[in-house]
Formats: sequence, structure tokens, C-alpha cells
Amino acid sequence: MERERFNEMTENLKKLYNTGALGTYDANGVHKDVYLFAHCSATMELADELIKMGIIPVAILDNNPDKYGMDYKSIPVCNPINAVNGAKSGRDAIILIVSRFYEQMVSQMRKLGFKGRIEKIIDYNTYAEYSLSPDTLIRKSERLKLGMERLKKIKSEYPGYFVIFCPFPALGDVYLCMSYLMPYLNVVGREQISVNGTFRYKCLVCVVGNAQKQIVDLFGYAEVLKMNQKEMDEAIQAVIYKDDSECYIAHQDRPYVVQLHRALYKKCIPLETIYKCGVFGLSTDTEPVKPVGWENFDYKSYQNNFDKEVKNDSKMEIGSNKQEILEKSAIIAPYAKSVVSLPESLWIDMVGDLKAEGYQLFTNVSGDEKPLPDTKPISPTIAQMKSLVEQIGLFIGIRSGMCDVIKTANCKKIALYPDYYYCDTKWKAVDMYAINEFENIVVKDNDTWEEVKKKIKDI
Amino acid sequence: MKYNAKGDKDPARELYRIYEYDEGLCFPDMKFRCGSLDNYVKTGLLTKEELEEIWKENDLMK
Repeated sequence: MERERFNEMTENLKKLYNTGALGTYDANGVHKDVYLFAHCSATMELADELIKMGIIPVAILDNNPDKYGMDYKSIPVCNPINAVNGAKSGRDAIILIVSRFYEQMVSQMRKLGFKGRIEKIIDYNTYAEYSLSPDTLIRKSERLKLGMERLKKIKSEYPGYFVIFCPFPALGDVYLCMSYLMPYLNVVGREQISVNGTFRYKCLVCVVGNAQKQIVDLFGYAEVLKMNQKEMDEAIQAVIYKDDSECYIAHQDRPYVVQLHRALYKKCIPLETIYKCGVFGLSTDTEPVKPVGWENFDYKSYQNNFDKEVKNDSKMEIGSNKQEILEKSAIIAPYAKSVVSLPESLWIDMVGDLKAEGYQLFTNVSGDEKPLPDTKPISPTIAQMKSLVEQIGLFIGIRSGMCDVIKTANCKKIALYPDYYYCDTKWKAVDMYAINEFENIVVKDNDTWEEVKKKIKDI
Repeated sequence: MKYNAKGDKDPARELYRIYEYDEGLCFPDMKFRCGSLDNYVKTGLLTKEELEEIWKENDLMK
């Protein structure tokens, strides 16, 4: 889950808790039944937060019968009718939702007869508002107008360019888009031009976020424009409204009319194939384009800077072998924006174990992320990642967009997959996100580092 | 007033174009500048019959 969304979720949970809607007891001293709707990664993160608050949800409601009987941290997945039956038996119940299908879920629960409180914990659909009030129509029409103006401005600044929109700030999505955009541009016959002696397509890729901009630059065959989420949403709505043939929305899930995920009810189509075939309509044997704009990561300079910081902060410790060439070292990437996190204890045990084996350890951090204890923080740019992991030799990370970025790096790479289901499908995260160039390891709910380590070859 | 790409007067489609108001509806005959389930048929990942089943099973034709 993106940090902004996560913050929104925890903030709304706190507010709800403070109103007494959660974690309270009824007159008989019976705890209120808290249900969650939709067995997906966002719901699992919500469950994690509730558990931290001492609230154990009764069940995760889901419409997929294949999931009934499963559980997440002992919270069973069951038919939504269970919440209705629970409430009918006199239990005080509340349903919490962190899904963009909030309105449909509310409608379903009301039709089933659930009369209790239903709360939206994250407002995913600021663009798709489910109201027909004149006020909404006016506001949304104004928003569309802004989008039209923005699109006009983009087109005046980039005349004759084919404009691609990557709607969300997800590294992996932008990486996959760029991996298959070039073959798509060839198929649809888009023009190539020479810019300072380098060939590029007359194509502009619009993204949200700095790292996402760096991804586009890394591929080096298109121009890039960074915008904020509001501007992006406005512009995309203008593209939908105008049906503009000089624009393309390159995403697996936006606009929602794309419905690509529906095919997952029939068969497993990994995310990369969704982009290749579903988003761009390319044949299954199309090879992905590889990034070209890699830069060297100057480890010596990093070490010198780190040493200076350490001198200024006596609390920090570094290994005695700090000047040695990186013979036995590993970079750990425990953070991801849009997947369920792994327990902190797993990472800490991993650090302890690898330290004992003589590894020098780094945590890949950005923004306000904290390094794991006893590891050094390291924050390369996107373009430096490949060089860095190749110098270090071993990458262990939760499966995130960063794994896509370094898939072509020549070193040992291990991706850890929390054991969750992809959206409301019967496919696991590893089915959807596995990378051929990685060792893909599934981490079950209660797996210890020792158990995870046994699944990894030669570590 | 033009309501959709075909010029049909269809307020639901117009609302979708303005703010993705769809209330669970979908318009499989409307093509937007993005990917599509049809691409899966084109690339051999789905058969035509499977695609039709998806539309039917998910009640997307209403």
C-alpha cells in the first residue's frame, strides 16, 4: 500500500476507534464484531493494524467461494452472509472496507440485510464518485474541464507527441510499461526522432513520482513528464472523455472499464503478461526492452560519506571491515508500497543470522524509512541500483517494484513473497509477480527466518 | 448534446466519461485508449468463448 494511503488508513482507524466504533464492548461486555470485506493485500494491512490495536476481526468477507476456509493470521475468510447472520443473532457488528469497490460492497451487504455500520477506511475513488447529485456533477465537470486544459497544455508543449499515461506511482507498473511500450510503439508505427544524436520516439510518458520519472529516463527512448496525482487523474479523465487517439493509458487497472483483472477468474495471467498482452496487445513471445541508462554506484564515496556521518554520531556502529572490498555482503530491501509487509522479526532474525555468518549488511531505504538494526542505510538512485547490487552480490527483498528494476542485474537475487491472494482471485502473489531472474520464495504467515532460509538455495 | 463516442444519447455513458460513475456497470462495446480484454483473445490467452463467459459471469452486459 502506498504510504499516503497507509497514513490515510491508520488515521481513519484512529478516528473510528476514538468514536468508540471499534474495540469497544457492548452492555453485556461482549466485544463488537469487526468484519473486513475483500480478501486482498490492503485488507491484510488493515487487519495487521487492527491486531496492533488489540482488535481481532471476526472474519474477512469475500465473494470468492474458492477462498472460504482460508485464513489470514487466524482470521477466517467467509461468505458475506456470515456478517448478516452474526448481526441477526444479536451481535453488534461493523464492516470495514479498504477497497475501491466500497459502493458495490455496501450495496451487496444492504441487499443481504445487514443493517449495521459499514465504514470506508480508505477513499480510493476520489475520481469515481458514486453520486448523481447536481453538486457532484458540477464538481466533476469542473474537474474534467481542468483535465481538458491540462491535456491541451501538454499537447502544446509537446506538439505531435504520442502521450502515454502511467496513472499511479508504482515502480513496477512503470517498469513493465516501459518494458513493452517500445514494441507497442513499433506496432502502431509511431515516429522516431533524433534528439542530440540519440534516437527516441516522439512519445511523452506522464508519471506520478520522482522514482517513476527515473524509470522512464532509465529506458531512454521517450520523454517524461512528472505530475502530481490530482493532475494525473484530471488528465486521464480528459483522455477518457475525449477518446483522444493521440493518448494511451498504459495500466492494468485504469480506467476501470479496462476490466483486465476479470480474466484472472478464468486463468492465471502474471502481471508482466497482463502488461504485454492485455495492456499493449503484443504477442506472448514479445521480448521486453531492457533499460540502458544505468549509472555506476561509487561505493568508495558512499563509504567515505558514511564514515563522516558516523564520526558525527557516536551512537552508530559500523563493522571493522569497512574498508574491505565487498566480498561478503548483502543488501536487504524490507519495504514495499503496495504489498503486505513481512514481520519485522523476520528481517531482524535474518540480519542476526547473516551477521553471524560474516556478512556486511545494508538496508535499501528511501524517504523516512529506517534501516534495519545493525545494517547500514543505503539510498542509491534508480539508475545506480544495478551497479550497487552487482557490487554487493546478494539482494534479499520483499517483492516490490524494486525487484523489477534490478531483474537484469548479474548477482544473486532473492524475492520474498508474503503468502496472500492477488485481489479477489484465487492466485497467490507469487503466481502473479514471480520473476524468472530471481529466486522466488513464499513466506508463510508463521514462517521463521530459519524456515525461510531453508527454502533458499546456497545462502 | 453528444453523449458517447457513437453519439447515442446515453446518460450512463456520459456520466462514465465525466467521472467514471459506473455503479458496477461496464460498457464492453466502448473502446477507450487503453488495454482491453479483447487483447487477450487477439494474443491467444483467452478464447472468444472464454471472453463471452467473463462478460456473462460478471454481469457486465447490463
